[in-house]
Amino acid sequence: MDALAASFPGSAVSQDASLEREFEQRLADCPTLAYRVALGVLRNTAEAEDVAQEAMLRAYRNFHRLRDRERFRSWLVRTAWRLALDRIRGAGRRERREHAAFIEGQRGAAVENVVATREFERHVAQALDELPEKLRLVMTLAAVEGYNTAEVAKLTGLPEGTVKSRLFLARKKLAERLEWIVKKNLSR
Amino acid sequence: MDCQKKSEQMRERINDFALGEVSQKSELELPAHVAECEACREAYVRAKAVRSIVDRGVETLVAGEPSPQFMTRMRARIAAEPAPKRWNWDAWGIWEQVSRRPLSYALGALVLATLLIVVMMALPRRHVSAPNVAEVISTSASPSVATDSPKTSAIPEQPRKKLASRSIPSPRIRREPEVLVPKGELLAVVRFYEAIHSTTVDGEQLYAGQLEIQKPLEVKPIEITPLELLETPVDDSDKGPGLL
Repeated sequence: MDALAASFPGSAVSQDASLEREFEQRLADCPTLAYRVALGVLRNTAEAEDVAQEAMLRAYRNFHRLRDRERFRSWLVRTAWRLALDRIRGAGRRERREHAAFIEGQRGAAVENVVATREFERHVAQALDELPEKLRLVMTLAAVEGYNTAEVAKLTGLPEGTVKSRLFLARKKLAERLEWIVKKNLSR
Repeated sequence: MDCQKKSEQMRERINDFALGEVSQKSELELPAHVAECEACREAYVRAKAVRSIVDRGVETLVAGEPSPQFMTRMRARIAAEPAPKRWNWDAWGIWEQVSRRPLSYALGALVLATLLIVVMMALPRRHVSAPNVAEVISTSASPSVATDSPKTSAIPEQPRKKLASRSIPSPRIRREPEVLVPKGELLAVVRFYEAIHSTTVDGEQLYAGQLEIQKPLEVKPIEITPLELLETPVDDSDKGPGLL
């Protein structure tokens, strides 16, 4: 019966079905983006997954306003970012962050390398956390999937020039903060 | 470009350029200079390496995929949600929400209406201290002020203009009709006015008066009686000496 009703174009049921289909496409497309944005703030895989799910669920509830793909992605990124920041501020979990994702990726590597890389990772995370929020967002997004400035501008809704200048400032501050460890890496 | 003299400044510029500084001047000048100057090329390569290390460090922080259970849990949570709203009038879900909690909405509407009525009643009514048009009209509309001219209204032209130019705030005008009095009927109108206001108007009497007015004038022939000449005795003694 539902299938029959859905076959009539313009009917409420067919509209719902098309919305569901569109959301299914987004569901296959976007969770990793939301997850990585949340991970950039939380650095805890379980919490990042939780935030990504919450962001996707909110997107589902507001999907009638977010049918455009770009709009959906930028809304999702901002929501995941905001939810992750809220979670950190609310629970004071900054100290309890883990680097589970990173450690999982490093299985099988030599112990010294893992320790060195974990040390470097910790310093980068600390330096990133000290950046102002607006610089941190563009830096994280640029790193999430290797997005260029135009893509980051689309996701954040900022002008491309602003994204470029913020990226430059973020990199400069990080480079200054990590100067000693970068020199050590370069001298190897 | 003399980079030997300003080596520190140049290194700073190259460093910023490698980190992605947005400057048209640098974009135009530096690549050409870096291609020519070996020391600056070395500085540029080093700065690029720093950028690469920083970017890689941030990338490792956000690298990774959600767990395989992520999608299963996600679908389960979505399944528990109502279907996404459609983008049309129904999507606002007003009637759906009202039908869910009709009592709440009815109560809300009642409270709103009551508040509106209370506010309307509490608003002060506007009183005008200056005499408004209504008063002037009702006063001047009395026949005692009316002129004899049939074309002239009860209100003189000059005062009316002045009143019109005044800003009169939403008057509740008790307007009485203006009375135009035809020439020569002022007395009749005065009596009529008084009769109406004394509430002792007799319908039959009015009708009779109306008939009286409408009745054609009777032309009665005037009897002209000839003047009688009285014979009076003539006294000749008064006469003077004759001409003869």
